[in-house]
Amino acid sequence: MVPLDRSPFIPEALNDLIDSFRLLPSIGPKTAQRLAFATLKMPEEQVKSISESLLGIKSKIIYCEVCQNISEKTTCDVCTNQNRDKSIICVVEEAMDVYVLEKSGAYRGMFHVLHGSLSPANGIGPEEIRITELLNRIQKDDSIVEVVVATNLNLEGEATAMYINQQISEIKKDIRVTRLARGMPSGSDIEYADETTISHALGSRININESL
Amino acid sequence: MKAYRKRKKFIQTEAIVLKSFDFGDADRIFTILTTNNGIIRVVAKGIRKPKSRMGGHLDILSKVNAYISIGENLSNLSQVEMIENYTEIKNDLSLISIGFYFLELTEKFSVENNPDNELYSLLSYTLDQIFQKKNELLMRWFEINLLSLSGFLPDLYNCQISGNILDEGDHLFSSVNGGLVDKKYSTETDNYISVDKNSIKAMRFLSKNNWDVVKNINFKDQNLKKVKEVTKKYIQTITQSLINSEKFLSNVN
Repeated sequence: MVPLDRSPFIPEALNDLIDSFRLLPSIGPKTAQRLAFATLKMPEEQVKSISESLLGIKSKIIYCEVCQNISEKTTCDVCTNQNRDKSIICVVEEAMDVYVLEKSGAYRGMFHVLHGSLSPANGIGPEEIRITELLNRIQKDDSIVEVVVATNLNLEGEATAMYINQQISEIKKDIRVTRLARGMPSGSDIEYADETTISHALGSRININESL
Repeated sequence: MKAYRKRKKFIQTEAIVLKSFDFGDADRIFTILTTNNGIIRVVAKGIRKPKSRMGGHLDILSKVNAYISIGENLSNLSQVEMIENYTEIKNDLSLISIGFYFLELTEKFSVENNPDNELYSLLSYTLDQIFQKKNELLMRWFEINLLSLSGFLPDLYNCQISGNILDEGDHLFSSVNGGLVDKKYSTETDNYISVDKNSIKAMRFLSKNNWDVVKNINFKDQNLKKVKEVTKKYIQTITQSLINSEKFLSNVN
């Protein structure tokens, strides 16, 4: 973040609000100023409502005891929904990933949120993310037949997927552990693809009838 | 006076990616070790988006050809081409953990703007040697050579207290003094590690010989364990920090 440059022409209270907005991702000094001035112009009820919402996410949001996703209840709506396929768990790194997968409408199984990925160089090992909770869940529930590891497609995400696979195979050998397919993004030209993507796309090629 | 705008400096260099972390909405900051510019932190804009043209080329533990625009605070990565993806390492969790260990150690001993490419050559060479099923020995050889290239090679021949040449026998290792200490000083402090004469010989051999020679020697497990104990303590003393990836390394191996 660019060092804070508090303007002497702006009242202290407004400068404080600008600094607070700058703590958010993608908010630079100019945007922070615009947001702060827009807040100043708002009716008091709206500002109160925003501040209550902000405090609310810290007091009301907890982690679902089953899937570790963010929720307002001890067990989230996905975990209590009887229409979902309980035999398959999709493991994701962040709560945001759940919403992306849900938006696609292509998945009707359960989720498990790790809240990070293995990053040994940054001191994030298996104990720092919620792998133990996943393993306990798999051990207790005999209806689970497949675990889809949907961690990010970089080295840390891959290492996390391999570690999960290793740990699951130690506790239950008959569970199928799968990984999201890798290849060309929709709408892209082959001309611009890199060697890694091309080799993965070729390796994961499917019958033309299945892709339609 | 007309404002003078500083022209940006562009460099093209071979580099190994050591570390990364997410930055902003879709960007990522990479720590890369270059051949002639030491360690550089670069921003790869939009790399987390699926359609990014850099995404497939740039990841931790990859050797790349990078085009960098050097900035005052952070440098910008304008283009990147993969040279070596180390796919065999990336397909094996145990080898990944060893790779992470090499990268973290290299990062801790690297400095910015270092025109010396010896550290780069050591890391690049070591990553090429990972598959030879002698990885425990390779790690010890790498640690001692990394210490040597960084100017921290421990003195394995003279007593660090008296200055006398040490006789062939068991001695003590002092990580604070950076070398061996005669065993008669054992009562002075608890921080010394006692080292038997065969482990001392092993350390001397590792520091003097290249990997092609070292890999053909069969060292006893107990000697390699002792060398590991010594280098671990010594590296912690020098860097004043723990090696984070070591825990993961012992967890998966």
